[in-house]
Amino acid sequence: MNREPKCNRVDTGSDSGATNRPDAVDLALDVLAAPRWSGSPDWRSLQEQLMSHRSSFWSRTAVLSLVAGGVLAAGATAALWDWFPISGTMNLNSGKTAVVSGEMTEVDGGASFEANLDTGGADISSGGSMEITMPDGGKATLVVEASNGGGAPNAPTPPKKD
Amino acid sequence: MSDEQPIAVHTAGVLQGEPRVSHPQASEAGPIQSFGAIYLEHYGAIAGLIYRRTGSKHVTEDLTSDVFLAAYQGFARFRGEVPVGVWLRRIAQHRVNRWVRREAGMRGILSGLPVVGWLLPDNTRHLERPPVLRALLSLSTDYQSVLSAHYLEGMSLNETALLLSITPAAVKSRLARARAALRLALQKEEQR
Repeated sequence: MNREPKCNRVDTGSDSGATNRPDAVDLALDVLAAPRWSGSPDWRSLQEQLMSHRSSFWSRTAVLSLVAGGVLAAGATAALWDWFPISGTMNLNSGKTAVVSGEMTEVDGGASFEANLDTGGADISSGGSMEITMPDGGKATLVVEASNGGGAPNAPTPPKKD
Repeated sequence: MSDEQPIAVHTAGVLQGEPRVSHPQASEAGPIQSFGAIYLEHYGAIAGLIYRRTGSKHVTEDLTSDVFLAAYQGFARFRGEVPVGVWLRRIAQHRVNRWVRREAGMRGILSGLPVVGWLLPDNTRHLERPPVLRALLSLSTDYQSVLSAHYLEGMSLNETALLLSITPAAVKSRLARARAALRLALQKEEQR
């Protein structure tokens, strides 16, 4: 539905009287429909504004949950992208699942991602993974490595060894 | 602390390999699109809609940015109940309507004061607008929205109904009332 306006009118009944003269309302609507926007999208400028809004965005979503940050491994996908949401279910190595919501952002030479993982109390210290599809159709797996758990406030208790 | 409480951890992540997707949006709303791709695809339509409603380049640039900022913040929650284009148009209509109401309020306050035209910001100078646009902007925002969607943006009855979250029959009757109101507004403009 991304298109230029066109004449696509519904007959809403005679509100102009029965004459052959052009209706004043139709003429006015033609005038109002005529202007064309000549500006161009400025993705970089919008990105700057988006980034300035990130802190408030995350403050709303960053509840007590795991925060994952990392870098895109080269070769996961050839094309760069800009930004897209990540959400879905991560399979934890403990056998449980975690709900993931976050975003991936283009950076020079790769991409960074941030995601909230709501584990519902499940142990994530053994790590986990979630498969995702890039906007260009490429596939990748988001991996939380088992060895890197801890470091932030309220870090989980290390897994118990059997 | 209970064992069931969520935990907060910082950890490192890497992206690897191949497999298949597990993304709610992918199954419900088609393939995932990047926000940038959506912006580039819909920018023209959204900016055009706003421009035809406001008649101001300055306001169009501002409101178009507002629309995509709002979309960005709501994108993760968007589940594809309607096409992305309709969703963006809803946000755009809402933003324009809010601008119209705010501007009308400001004009009402300032109109009683002598020689205050210079106080009006650029985006509130109605006097520079053509009479037909003044007539449109004098209508209720419900009427403006339905006229804009159907006549200015060329949306069908069903598309307009989807955009405004009303039935096609309601769109048709609202269009008839909006046209009648526009006719009166045009007559008032002629008499000015």
